[in-house]
Amino acid sequence: MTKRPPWKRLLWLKQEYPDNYTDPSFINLRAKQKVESTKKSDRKLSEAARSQIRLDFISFYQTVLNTSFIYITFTYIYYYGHDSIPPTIFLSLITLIISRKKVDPLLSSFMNVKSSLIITFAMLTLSPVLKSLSKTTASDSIWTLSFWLTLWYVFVISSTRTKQKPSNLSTNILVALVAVLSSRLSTTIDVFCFLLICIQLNIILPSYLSATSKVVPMISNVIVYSFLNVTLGWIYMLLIFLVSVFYIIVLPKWFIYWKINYHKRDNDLLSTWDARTPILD
Amino acid sequence: MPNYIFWPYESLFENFATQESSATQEPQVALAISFQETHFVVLGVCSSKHLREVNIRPPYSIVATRDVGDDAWDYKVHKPCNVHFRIPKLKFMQFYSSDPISLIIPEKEVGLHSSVSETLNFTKLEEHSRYRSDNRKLKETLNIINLFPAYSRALGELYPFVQTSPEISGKTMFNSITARISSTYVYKLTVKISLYTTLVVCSIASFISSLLNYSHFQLVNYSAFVQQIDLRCQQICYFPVQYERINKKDTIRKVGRRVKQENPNGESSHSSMPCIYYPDYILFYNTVWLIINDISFGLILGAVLTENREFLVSTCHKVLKFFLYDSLKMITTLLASNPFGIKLNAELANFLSELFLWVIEFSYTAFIKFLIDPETLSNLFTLTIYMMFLVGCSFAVSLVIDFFAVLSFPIYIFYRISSKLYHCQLNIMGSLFNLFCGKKKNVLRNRVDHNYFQLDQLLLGTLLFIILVFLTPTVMAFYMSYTILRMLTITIEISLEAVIALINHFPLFALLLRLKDPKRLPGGISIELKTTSSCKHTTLELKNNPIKFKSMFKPYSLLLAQIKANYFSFATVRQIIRGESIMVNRNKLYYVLYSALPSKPLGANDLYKRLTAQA
Repeated sequence: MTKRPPWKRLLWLKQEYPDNYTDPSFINLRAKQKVESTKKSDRKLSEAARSQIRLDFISFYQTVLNTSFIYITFTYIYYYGHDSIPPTIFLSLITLIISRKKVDPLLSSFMNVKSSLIITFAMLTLSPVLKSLSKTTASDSIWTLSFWLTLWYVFVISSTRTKQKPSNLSTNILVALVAVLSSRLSTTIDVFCFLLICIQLNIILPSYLSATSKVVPMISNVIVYSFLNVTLGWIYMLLIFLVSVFYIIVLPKWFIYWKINYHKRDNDLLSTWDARTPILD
Repeated sequence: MPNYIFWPYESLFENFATQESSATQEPQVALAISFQETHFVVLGVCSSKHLREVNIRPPYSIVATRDVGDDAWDYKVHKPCNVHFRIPKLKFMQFYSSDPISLIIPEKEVGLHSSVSETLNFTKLEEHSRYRSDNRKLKETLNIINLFPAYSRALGELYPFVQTSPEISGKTMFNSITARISSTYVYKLTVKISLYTTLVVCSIASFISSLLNYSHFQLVNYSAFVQQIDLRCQQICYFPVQYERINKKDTIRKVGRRVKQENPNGESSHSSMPCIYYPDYILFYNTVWLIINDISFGLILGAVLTENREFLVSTCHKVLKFFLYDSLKMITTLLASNPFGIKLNAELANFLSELFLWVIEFSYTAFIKFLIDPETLSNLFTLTIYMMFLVGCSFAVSLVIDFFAVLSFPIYIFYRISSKLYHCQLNIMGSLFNLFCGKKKNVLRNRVDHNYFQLDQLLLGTLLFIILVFLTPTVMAFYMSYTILRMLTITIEISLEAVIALINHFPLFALLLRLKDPKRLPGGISIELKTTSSCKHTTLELKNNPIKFKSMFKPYSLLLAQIKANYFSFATVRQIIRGESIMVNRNKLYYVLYSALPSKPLGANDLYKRLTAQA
């Protein structure tokens, strides 16, 4: 009798096992879960899991900070009416330097000369159209639209980020958000610069800068809070700062506490045994 | 199963006893005819003394006897069941039919059946073998009943002593006069001349009809006037054929031959039925009547129009100018400047409105200005009125439709332009939306797959998508307003065309016939139980159901349903929302109304053969 190939958890494979075959690994998993659930007193999360939870919270905070750069840029150009060309040139130079420095095989195709040229010229040609697109629409509707788009963007980008590459949908929502906002700007150059800055800050730079480095988050924090200080005053700035500190330090602890004591394990079998996304090929 | 015996409902059969037999004191005998596939049909009665010498041969048989002074008949067959019927007067074109008479010629009938689910159960029932044999038997019997006089005459020839129902004498004064006239030389010459004239007219008409239906460029589809000409030509072509069919005289003669044959087969009997030509008779006179009606309508309307000509010309000029120039211009300029407070994209709205205004100005100066000029309108009125006087009201109305179609051509163009724009935009937005979601249509597997796009593709696609989304309300405003205008013009055209359809195809003759003599338009039969105390056997009565009014107007209800499906249905609304253009083949739409005409006119050669064979 020849030895059967090992059982695979794929529905579409024709395997030499009976329909009611139960894999030993499944039984092991079941037994392990039972043991875990009985010992309620010394249930504990591992150190790795704890740090992962903290990292998740921090990365979400980082995403919100990054997103707020859209509004910072917009306020800089629209509200204060500053010249938009110098920061654009400055940021583009930084982006260029970083992209030259870190030639990653995965990212080289992502950002080559051809596509950057295409993006630039497309934005140049379309910025007058974008500017006039919703000129007749009231500002209130634009603010409302941009608010909901931002919420959507934050939701999508924080739920579907994989391997440093932002998802298609999040990129698209970002561009839509920027396009909606740019209709409030007065000149074509402003529109172009605004588009370019937002794309560099939110799409290109995050993919080059690793999340673990400590310099970049510090810089962005400093920029955001100083900007808040300038526009809203120090009281609001302090309030927001306290809220974010609370979020970064206290909330993860609460979450871990909740996970240990109140988290129901009904879905554990489903989430560990079954594949989260269907395996097709 | 009982044996059905069909008795004519005549005084002769009831009162026979008092006339003859009472004197001779002999029992009476009822003679009936029956073939393999039919029930008994009593043809005549005689006194039994005559039968001592002669033998009754197979198609005929004795079904019942009655003694003197007795009321009830004594039947010779097993399980008798009486069915009484009134002898249909063939001369007045009365007849029985188990199926409703069709006012549609057979070759057109295929496409006109009602919905499948309605008849599904009935067809199942029909397929049952017993039902089929019964039905067949009944049909054959009805054939005999319809030709009752001929059969009874044949019986009378064979056995002269049999008393049959009194025949209406064939020879009248009129007949003898026509016979004398038809023998003269002048008559023959007239016949020849009229034959050739008919042939020439028919061939010209069929030539015109085929020219208008030229397969590479069907003019019929584009113009109501041409369609009207085509219809008249086809009618003219079909007249001689119908006339020839109606006047087939040899049908009755065939019956006599059939009875003499010892073993008649059922198939030949059906073809010899005169009543299958009655629909032709009705259709022929209907068409003739409608044409005459059309011309008389034309005369009346023409007279009215001539009286109020000045007023009508000036009003038409004002109304047309307002609707086709001023209001169009007003709507287009309104669309450019935030209509109803809806904020459209100013640049695109201005561009589109300028484009359309340019088309309006161009078309106005190019032809509309000339066409709605009071002088041109007055000339056109003259033409229309003359046409009404000469060939009928329907031609004039179709001319008006064509005129209106030409005038509303700019609206049609606007509609097409805006629908194309809208449709393209929707299409592009559909595929760009897929890109927006990071997906792409897989043509090979015909599904939408996830795809990782390059950054430049994403950016460009999203920018275009955003632009299109913001421009959609503007394009839609233009598209919707022009679609409404287009639907308005279509509605006007359709209502005028409905008038023409009524004039051309109204079943007027059939309706009047239905009022005058419902037996001539049988819509099936019913057999009812007759309650008589005297008879010891069950007695049924065969009755004729006149055709229903609903089935007379069947082509109209079909046309209405079709128009509704084409122009005023949810499918249309969906088409409009999708930006697909609503186009209807006019010829296809009115095909149902051509139900009284063959699809192809008969060639001159065939026609000549048919007519000469008749002569």
